[in-house]
Parts: sequence; C-alpha cells; structure tokens
Amino acid sequence: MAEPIRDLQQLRTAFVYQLRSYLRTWRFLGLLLFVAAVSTVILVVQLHNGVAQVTANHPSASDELSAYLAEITNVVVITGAFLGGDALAVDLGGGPGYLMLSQPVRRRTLFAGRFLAAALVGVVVSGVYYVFAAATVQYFYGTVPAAILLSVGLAILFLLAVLALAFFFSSFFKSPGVSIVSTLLILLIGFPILTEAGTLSGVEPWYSLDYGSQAITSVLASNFTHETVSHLGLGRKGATLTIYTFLPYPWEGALILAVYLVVFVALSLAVYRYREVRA
Amino acid sequence: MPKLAAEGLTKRFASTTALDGASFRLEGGTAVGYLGPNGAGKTTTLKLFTGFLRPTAGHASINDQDVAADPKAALWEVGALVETPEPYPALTGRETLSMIGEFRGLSREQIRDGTERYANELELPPLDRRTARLSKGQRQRIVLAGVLLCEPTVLLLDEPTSGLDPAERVIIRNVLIRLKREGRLLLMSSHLLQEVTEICDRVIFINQGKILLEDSVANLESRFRVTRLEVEFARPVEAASLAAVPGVSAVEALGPTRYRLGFGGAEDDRSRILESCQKLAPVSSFSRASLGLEEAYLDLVRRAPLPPPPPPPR
Repeated sequence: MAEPIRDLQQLRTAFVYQLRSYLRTWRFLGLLLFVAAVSTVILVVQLHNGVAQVTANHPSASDELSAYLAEITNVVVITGAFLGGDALAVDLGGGPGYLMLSQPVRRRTLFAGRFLAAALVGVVVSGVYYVFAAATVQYFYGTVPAAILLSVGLAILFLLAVLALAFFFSSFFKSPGVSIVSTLLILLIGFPILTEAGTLSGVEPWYSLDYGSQAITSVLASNFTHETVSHLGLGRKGATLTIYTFLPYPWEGALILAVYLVVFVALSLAVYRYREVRA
Repeated sequence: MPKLAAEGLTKRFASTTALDGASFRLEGGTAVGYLGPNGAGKTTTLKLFTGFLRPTAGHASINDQDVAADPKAALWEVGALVETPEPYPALTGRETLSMIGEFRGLSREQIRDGTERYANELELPPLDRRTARLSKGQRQRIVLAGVLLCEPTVLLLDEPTSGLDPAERVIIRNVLIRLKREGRLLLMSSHLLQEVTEICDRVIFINQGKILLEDSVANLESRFRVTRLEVEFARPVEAASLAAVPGVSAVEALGPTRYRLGFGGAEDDRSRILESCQKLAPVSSFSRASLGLEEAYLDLVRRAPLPPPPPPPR
C-alpha cells in the first residue's frame, strides 16, 4: 500500500472526477443549451428591433450591456443550483456515499474538489451568456465597455455564493432532487421577497443575496443611483405610498456576495463533515 | 500486523441503543465472522469502524488509529463494503477503479495492473461501460475490485455476498479465502453460516447491541454438537425400522426415502447409525442436519432476552 498521500493530490482527484461526471451527464450540456437558447432569443429580438431602436432605447453601450445582462442572475442561479444541489447529497443518501466516504479521504477535501469543479463548469456556462452579451454590444455600438470585466468578476463571486448555498442544502438533504429544488426555490423566490421587503420598508436589503447580485448589472449603469425614493398617490385623500429603490454599490455588492460565500461554505463544510450516513 | 479494536463502543439513536459497550480486539491475518440477527448491531459496528457513524461512547480503532479522531489515517489500509456501496453511475467501471486508486495514492501502473488482475479474478463486466448500465451483481463486483485494488490489510465486509447469484458468491468466497491466507484481517457480517464456516477462523456473536460470545469456529463446532442427521435411502424404508436403530432417539419422515434422525451428537454414534442404516437399505446420502455454528447461533439467540416492545403509537 502506498504511503498516505497529501490532501492536495486527493483534491485534484475529487475535482477531476466531479468534472468528468458533470461533462458526462445531461447537466453540463443542458445548461449550456439553456444559456445559448436564452442568449439567442435576446439576440434575435435585438436584431429584429434594429440598430436605430436599440441605440435609441439604450444610448450607451454600458446601458445596453446592463439591460442584456438582466437575466444573468437567473442564469447563475439555475446553473449553481443544478451543479451544486446534489454535489454532497449524492453521498448522504447511501449508494455512492458508501463507496466514497469509506475511502481515506477527508470530507473537506472532497468538498473542495467538488466545489472547484462546479465553479469551473458554472463559469463556463455563465461565460457563454457574457460572450453573447459582449458580441451583441460590439455589433450595435462598435465597442464593449471595460466595466464588463468588473461585472464578470461580480458574476463569478455571485456564482460562488450560489454554489455555497447549493452545497449547504446539499449537505442537509439525502435526496439530490429535493436539494436542487430547495436551492432553486430559495434563490428564485425566497431572496427576491427579502429584497422587495426592503423596497417597502425603506431598509436597504443588504442582508439579501439577491440584492448583492444586483451589483452585477448596476456596475454597468451610466446613471447609477444608490437610493431612489418615489411616492405613489393612493386615492383622493392625499395618501401616498413611499417606495424605496436601492441599488448596491459595487463594493457593497461584492461584500454581500463574499459574506454569503464564506458563511455558507463554512456551514456546509461543518454539516458535511459531521453528518452521519444512516441511510 | 493488522489490528482492529473496539473498546466500550456504544451507539445510541434517540432512545434506541444500537450498540452497547462492544469490546473486542482482533489481530493478525484472520477472518472473523460477525454474527447476529437483523437489528443486532452488526452494521452499526461496521459503520462506526468506517466513520459513517460517530460513537456515542467508546472507541473504534484500526491499526492503533482512532477512527473518529483521524478517519483518514485509520482508513488508510482498510477496504470496506458496508451496506450497499454503489459506483457513481456516470463513471465507467475502469474510471471507478482509477478514481479509488488515485484517492489511495496508487500509481497508474499499479492501478492498471490491479484492474487487470481483478478483472480476471472477479470476472468483472466490460470496464468501459458506464456502471449505470450494469446489473447489481456486476456493480457489486466492481466495488469489491475497488476495495481490493489498494491491497488493504484490513477488510470490513457487511454481508459481502448478499444479493449475488450462486456463481458470484463462489467467486467472492474464493477471493476472501485467498485474502485471509495472505495475512489480511477480515471482519465480515453474514447470515450465511455455511459461508462463515468456510471462510472464518473465529466468530463474534452479537445480539441487541451486546457482544455475547467470541470464539473460534473449531471450538464452537465441538461445543455445540449437532444432534440431528439427515439420511436418504435408495428405496423406501419403514420409520419403525429406523426407530429401532441403536442410538437413534427420534425419527421424522421428510419423504418416502428421506428421514431426519435425532441422536446424542457423538461422532461414534453417528458412525454406528450409518452402519445400521446401510443394513436396512442402500444409503444415497447421510449428513448432519445443521452446522455446529448454526446450533451455537440458535442457542445464543434463544437465550437472549426478548427485545423491549415498541412504544405505543401516539
């Protein structure tokens, strides 16, 4: 028997085989097709509108890019949920877990290898959306704003935070399906509700991952305003409804995303490490 | 020398004590059967030794490494088949074996040679096929090949032939016998007492979470005498004639030519009964009706107090 090998070598093995698993299954191809389809639909609509209308709607390339990237958060959420939702649950429901977790590998090593593989695949899938966005803006405006790099950086950070959350759910549930659905529900419905609560209450929703992710597009907006207050008239007696709209500063968005990433990686690692396999 | 030790090993699930202060120490190249009825605590013990569960109290150690404290070090020389391990369905059999080998630090050559070796010995299915497309028995043999690939000195096996067809059982039994002869330490749970008798040198009996007995198979075979014989004649024989045979205490007809006979259990008596039977009619088969191990098992299980009744439904 060989001498015990270092965690780093085992991490590489976990990464390689998780990556292979993603590439083999419908998930990578499905996500890639999904993103390509969404991007193509947006591109076709823009082409149909023509250069004059597109440039009239969005005077600058940054505004056009910001509008195009409105769906990037959904793309990242769906990608992250499908890649991370079952990454740990697959071990906790028995079957493959009884093979893998009886190997002399620290669970944190398995976690790290799988997380990196999911992150790499997620970056590729989300990157396709960015490629379409950049190509469209180049076509209509003849230039691509440099701020797209900042947006890409924030999108990657958001992807990592989403994966951390998905891994957290994955460490809780034995069923990969339940884990994926829970992640999607929380990210697509739960967090947006939290953010909207801020709109009505006037409290900046810095606690919401969804709010932090808005920095991905707000970093491109030419007329960025952190807080907008508008009053909506209600009936004849002069009653008004005050609506607050917040947009995170880039640093603020990055901080929110980073905190989610760190907290949920720590939580999911702790749960995965101490979780017993009883199935 | 491979070592396996349980010291006051206890596992509780809510109000249920699955394992209650189990202690034993196994050393060297030997095969030990871990026997007990369903729910006795066998799988719980094996799960504690492989880190799937954490002990409520006590210690499980392998080669002097505490499993709960440092599972990586403790499991380094361990091959385990606990519950029903499955390969990842997206990977092929060859990739499954490579992955396990790489996790264990084997070189490419070692993995390739080991794969070829066990492909022959375990009659593995085509290794370039995804494991999702293989039968349960084929997947189980690939998992076993993965367990053996790294030449573990300690093997923890939870009913290793469960769910396999007779031919697959023979293949795996032969591999286990070879491993024991090579000086590996095997701890295997099984309900197949014939299999345990063939493979194991020692047995540990467990029931209701408590270790009841640890002894060698040879000792148990002599302590728990088989007191029933089965005899089959080439032509029908009167039961009354058999009852008159010296040494026969009871006769039970299993068919017109087959009988189960009660006797004292002594080897001499057995020989004399055979001689007498041959005088009645040609004997086509004559054997013990059970194994010594089976007698021991039944005796211990019967002596154990009944489990507490389940709590009333709310």
